[in-house]
Amino acid sequence: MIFTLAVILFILLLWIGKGRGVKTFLSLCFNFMIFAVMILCMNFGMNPLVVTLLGCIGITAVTLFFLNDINMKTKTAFISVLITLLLLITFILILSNKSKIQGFTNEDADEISIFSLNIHLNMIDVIISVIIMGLIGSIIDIAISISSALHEIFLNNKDLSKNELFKSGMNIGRDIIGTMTNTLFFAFIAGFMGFFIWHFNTNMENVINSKALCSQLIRIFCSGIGTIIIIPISSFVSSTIYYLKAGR
Amino acid sequence: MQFIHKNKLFIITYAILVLLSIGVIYFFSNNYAYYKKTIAKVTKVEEKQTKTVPNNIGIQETYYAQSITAVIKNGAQKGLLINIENERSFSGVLDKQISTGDDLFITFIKSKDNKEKIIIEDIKRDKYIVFIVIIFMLTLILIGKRKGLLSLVSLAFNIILFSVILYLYKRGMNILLLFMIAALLFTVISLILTLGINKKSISVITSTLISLIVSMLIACIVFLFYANKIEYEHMEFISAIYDYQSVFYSSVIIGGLGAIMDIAITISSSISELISNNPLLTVEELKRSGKHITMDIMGTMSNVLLFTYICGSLPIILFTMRNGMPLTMAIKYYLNLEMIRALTGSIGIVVSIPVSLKISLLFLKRGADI
Repeated sequence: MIFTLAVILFILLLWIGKGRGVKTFLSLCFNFMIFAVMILCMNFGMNPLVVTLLGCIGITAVTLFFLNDINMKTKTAFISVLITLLLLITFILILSNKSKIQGFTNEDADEISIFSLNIHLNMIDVIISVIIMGLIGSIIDIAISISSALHEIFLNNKDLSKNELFKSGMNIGRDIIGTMTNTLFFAFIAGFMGFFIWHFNTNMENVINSKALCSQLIRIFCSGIGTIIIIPISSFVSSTIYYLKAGR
Repeated sequence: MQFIHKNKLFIITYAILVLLSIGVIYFFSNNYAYYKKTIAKVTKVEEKQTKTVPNNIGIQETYYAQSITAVIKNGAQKGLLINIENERSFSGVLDKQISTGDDLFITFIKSKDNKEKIIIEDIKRDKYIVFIVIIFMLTLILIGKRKGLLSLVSLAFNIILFSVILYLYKRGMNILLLFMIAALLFTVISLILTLGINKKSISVITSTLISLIVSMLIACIVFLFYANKIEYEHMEFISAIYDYQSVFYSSVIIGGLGAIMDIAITISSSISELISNNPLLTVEELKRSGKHITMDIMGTMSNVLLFTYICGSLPIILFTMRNGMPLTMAIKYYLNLEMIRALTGSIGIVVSIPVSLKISLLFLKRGADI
């Protein structure tokens, strides 16, 4: 079934997107391969956090440089993504360690009962990986949108000041915020419907302290926070770099 | 100075919000009295490595014994100092890893030889949930300002709508039908709240709904062919759901909706901007510019979907691989459902591009027709 869906996607991409569509399909394949390599490295024993950071750099590079060519817009977006990642990682590290959301939940315990629990793998680092990988996609998307739009505006309005360019970036970002919060909400619901159906009538005390709810909420809201702070960061980086390049 | 003057109202309101937030977080960190179950706060943890246990492929797991000193924070025994024994592993797959400062839900039980033993039921996490939600809201309002606040309002509406759906589902309504109605309502409400009622929002709503229907039809046809090959047993919480097929299908619809709306808004906004900056552009020129914009976003959006869905499977894949399962098998097992979601969502995105382009040209530019 996956194969049929993939073929349909490829045909649609080719028909509607032509060359660009094919590149999109290839970028999906490359990114998936990076994901697989990340898993192999973590399984081999490498520190999951290091693997995640390196993997995210790779994913960003594929999505920006392969898909969109190497130019000033993509280079700016790349820098913005890296800065945002570095800012977020400390926050995510501390929060995940304190809230004890690592490993599996009681609801999952049945499914893994046939396996041994002795895997010598730091599950806290794994859940941090999950959170970071979940937000990398939307951060890249917003960074390139702002960087691209600001580039167009900059080219068409040579007498805009750096501050005004920054403000334009923020305005564009604010429009995106609305759709982003709703996209996150829908993704959350899509993945977590079962939890709500199951726990609809349960004791409130248990549900709001549960590992399941806590880890999902932390994942989704860290994603949200990441997509929000990339807006001022990429506006700032874009406006600074475009002005430096123009020699002003 | 001028900056502070101009934004006085915002700074004052925001400062009040921050103070309120600190209050709320403080409250949830200390709300022991509101709980029926006994809670103890950990003051000291002493740890000692006890043993190493191998699994079936030779990986050695290290275990530690934790000697925990804690203070009971509520109930009849408030203030009592207690000692709890806990065992944890290096990995922490299912066990509890206790550290100083944690709040624990505990129960007292009498073991066989009449000795009293203390069991840790779970860790109190409500303050972390409240913390992350508040940080999210504060960041959203700080950077989004009024638009950020509006998106919070639309989020609140969507949450209420979702609760109503859950309630109706529990009363017996068909979930698929519920979610189709929900998709319609989610779309209309979110878009009207963020864009207002104007040509732009109507064009976005129409494009979203049409793209959703088209991509769902495609998915439906494929589903019908392969219905018995989808491995539903990997769905989370499957044991509680009897009509899991519909629930899964609904989740695919809802998941795709967000991405489709995003694309529809981007295209409509861009076309609208292009027209307002240069009303003399012809339909052909608009079509060409529109195509350029859409090419850029199509690529990144599909990748966003891919990673949002597959990252959640990382723990289970690694876990089974450390038990000897080969990578290809683990991926085939645990990414099956997520890939269906990601691919269907991407199909929706690709479909929504020409649909949004044609519809926004139709609504926003005079003289354009399909």
